[in-house]
Amino acid sequence: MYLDLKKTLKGLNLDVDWISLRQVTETTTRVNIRNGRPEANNYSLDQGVMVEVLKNGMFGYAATPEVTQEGILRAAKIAMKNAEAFSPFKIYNFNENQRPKALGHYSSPFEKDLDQLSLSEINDFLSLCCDKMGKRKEVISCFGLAGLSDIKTNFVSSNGSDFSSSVKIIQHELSVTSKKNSEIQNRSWGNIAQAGMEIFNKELFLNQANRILEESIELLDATECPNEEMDLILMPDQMILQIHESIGHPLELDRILGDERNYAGWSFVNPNNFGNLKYGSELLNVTFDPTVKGQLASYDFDDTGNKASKEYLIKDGVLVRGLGSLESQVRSNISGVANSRAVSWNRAPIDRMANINLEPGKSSLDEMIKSSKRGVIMHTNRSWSIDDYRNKFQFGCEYAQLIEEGKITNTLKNPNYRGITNTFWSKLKMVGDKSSFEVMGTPNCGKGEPNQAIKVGHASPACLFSQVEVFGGI
Amino acid sequence: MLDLNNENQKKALYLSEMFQKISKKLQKHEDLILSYSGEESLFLRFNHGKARQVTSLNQGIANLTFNENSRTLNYKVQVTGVKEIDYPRMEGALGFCREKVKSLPEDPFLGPLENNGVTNEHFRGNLPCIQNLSQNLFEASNDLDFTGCFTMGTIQRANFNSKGQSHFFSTENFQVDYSFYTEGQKAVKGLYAGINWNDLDFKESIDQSINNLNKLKASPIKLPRGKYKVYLAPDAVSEIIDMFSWGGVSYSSLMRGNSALKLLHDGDRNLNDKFSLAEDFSLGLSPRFNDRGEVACENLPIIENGKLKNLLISSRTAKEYNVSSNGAGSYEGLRSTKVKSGDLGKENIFNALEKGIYISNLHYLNWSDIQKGRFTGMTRFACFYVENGRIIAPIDDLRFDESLYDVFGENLISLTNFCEVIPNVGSYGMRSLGGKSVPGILVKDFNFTL
Repeated sequence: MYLDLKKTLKGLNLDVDWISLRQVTETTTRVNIRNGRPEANNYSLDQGVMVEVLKNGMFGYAATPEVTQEGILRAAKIAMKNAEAFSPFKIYNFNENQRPKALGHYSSPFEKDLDQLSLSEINDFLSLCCDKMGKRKEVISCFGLAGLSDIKTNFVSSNGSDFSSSVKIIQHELSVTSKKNSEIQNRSWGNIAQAGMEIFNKELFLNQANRILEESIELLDATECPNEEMDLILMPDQMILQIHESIGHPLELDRILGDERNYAGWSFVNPNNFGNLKYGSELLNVTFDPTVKGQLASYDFDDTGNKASKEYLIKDGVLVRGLGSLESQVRSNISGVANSRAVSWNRAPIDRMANINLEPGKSSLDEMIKSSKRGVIMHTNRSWSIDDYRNKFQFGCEYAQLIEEGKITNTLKNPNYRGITNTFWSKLKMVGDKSSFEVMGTPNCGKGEPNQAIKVGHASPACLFSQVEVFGGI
Repeated sequence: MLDLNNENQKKALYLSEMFQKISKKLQKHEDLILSYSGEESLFLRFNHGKARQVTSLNQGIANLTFNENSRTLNYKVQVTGVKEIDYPRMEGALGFCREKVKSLPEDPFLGPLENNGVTNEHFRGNLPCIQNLSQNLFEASNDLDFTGCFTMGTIQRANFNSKGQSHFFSTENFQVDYSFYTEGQKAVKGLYAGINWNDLDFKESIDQSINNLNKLKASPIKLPRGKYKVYLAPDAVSEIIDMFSWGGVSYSSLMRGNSALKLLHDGDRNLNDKFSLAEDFSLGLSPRFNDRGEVACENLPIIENGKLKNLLISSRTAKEYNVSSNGAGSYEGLRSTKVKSGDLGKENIFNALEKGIYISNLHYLNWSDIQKGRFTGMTRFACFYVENGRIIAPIDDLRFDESLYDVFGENLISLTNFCEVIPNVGSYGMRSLGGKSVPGILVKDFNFTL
């Protein structure tokens, strides 16, 4: 439904200090194929408007799916009432500086539009992948997923903001589960990015389908991952989880300010750590970078109109900046970024990751392997858990390889490792160069009350850590 | 007869009429399900005893499942409550589905649509007014470091199909999901939830939490990793029971090689005969109808005295594996769960623990090896080291890596003789329904690894 938001905003005429309208329209197509048969063909159209008002230093919100002048007026009055009712108890006396004027339009990059493959063609494509994955007798389940989203956002405000974005997102996943006697193993491959239907390259998908099939079979006779302290090389599809959980979340300023303590948790990082905490080894360089073309959480402005730019969070191992919106920055007096984001029209924006990337170093993967006398290479996350201060973690992967005297000698199953955040990152001994650098993303970063699962991007090369506690199954 | 003064019943009638209108447009060999989830909610986030963010939300999602012969397509769209918007939107959705479904492959596991009857349940609540709430909430916290989220409003679920089925469920409820923190960053977690707000009950809940907070003021001790006897309070047990819904009690998960209960199913591992787990809709936390409108029986034993009795089977899974459905939703997760209590009295918990760790809450659980039923996670909030049945000090948080087959198997010493009802307070996308009734448990040799 089309509505002239600027005209609607002008017509509201409420006694508030500032007001904005953020309209989100998201269409999503999702296809699941299991064992070559359709499991789900889902289409969704989600549309609504979030009204945000500032009154007496308090932001109040009200969301409505009724995208009409009347519906938005009704929501705006509720948002105003909310701000009025709670402004005597407000945590901070906010003002218009936290909502800068923003003008512009962002479009995500794509080569082929989302209608270039029909629903039935997507079904056929994934069925073909399942045929490839299901060709061995050991396979008990194979699965293919394709998700296509087209998200349009418009934002207008009483101080002249008028910006919009049009983002196309493609998610894909293949997975295969194999069984031999009582041994069951799984391998998967997938990604999510701002892109178009060019992602669905048949040759690439069939090659990946074949690879994960063979690796799932290989794991059935693999050796259990040893229990010992040893070198650990994490490939990008595990690095993204390591970055997400032990760098991204603890640097969120709303966590550091305590807003998330009742649900997602607090942080071991405290406000005095910025500018001096040695977060990891000198090889550790991590950026907030919403400018990477095609990465999942790229944008020009966050959901408050703050202009997004690339910023170092950790530079040469030292913590320099937090992941905090203009609201968190003014509350904490800590430098932040443009990361006030809402999952959709029905949620207020909070401090989120966008693209949090570990910058490439100088080592090739071969050099890392050759440098290790005894170590493990781990691929593809399968288990993740970390404490509410983001310190003690335990992560598991689908597939691993043993390194002995600088060479890969064996395949290992059920690989896990555990550690404590700063100690772990201080063991970073080699950072992969651009040859192992991969740009990836995750669709479900959970946080917030009410809960929000948002899309975030991560990019990383392979990295080598020394003397990590590694272990296998029982 | 519907009471049209009640907004929920008006919504039931609105949805029913909308469905009737659209289903009249169905052609031969076409069927339709409308599964509806809606809410009108107020969320107030607070931190340090001050208001952080306040959001009102009105949303309703219609998930249309369109079947033509053995092909099917789902179409999800917002319902606004305005006929001029919703009716054309539904007609557009029907036209879209009719056009697209023809080109889709046949779905061999699409079960036949049936009329699963008519139900209509409304739980009217007594919710606080927004003006009184702010005073109540922030004054009760007594200037302590008080953080969390207050939520209140209406939650609705409905399901209609073209065979004549009609279900509607609504409840008006509230939750104050909160924690108090000490200066030393230790915390007590609390939840005051229900459908009838009572100022005195709320104050009692807060006072009890504040009282418990005092126990956390001593310096915490750092325990070495290893095996400890533990008492897991009902909130902590609830976190573990949640894991059963994630590759546990689902029959399709079992068949696809992704179930932690496979060893139990195959008879390779046993559970303690004190442990019984059931789906029990008599708790009143969730409607019995699922996303297809199929109605589960009121009580379905899953594990009874340590033996696996049933797994959750949706109609789709039933058709795929030629077994009988038991009214599970398509996700085949627990919706309203009851763990049977035992004989450990509240007054005897510390004496029975004698020397070990009292664990009030757990955090961020995940399978570390699902095939073996192994899971990992962290202690959280008020956890104490106990000796001679007395609290010595709060502990620094510990990571564990354990097996279901040990915790609910030979290492399970006893369960409390009381259960606590723990509603689902999740709100991803929309506020959740459901919850569980669970006891506390006493376990030996609980394995802490970091």
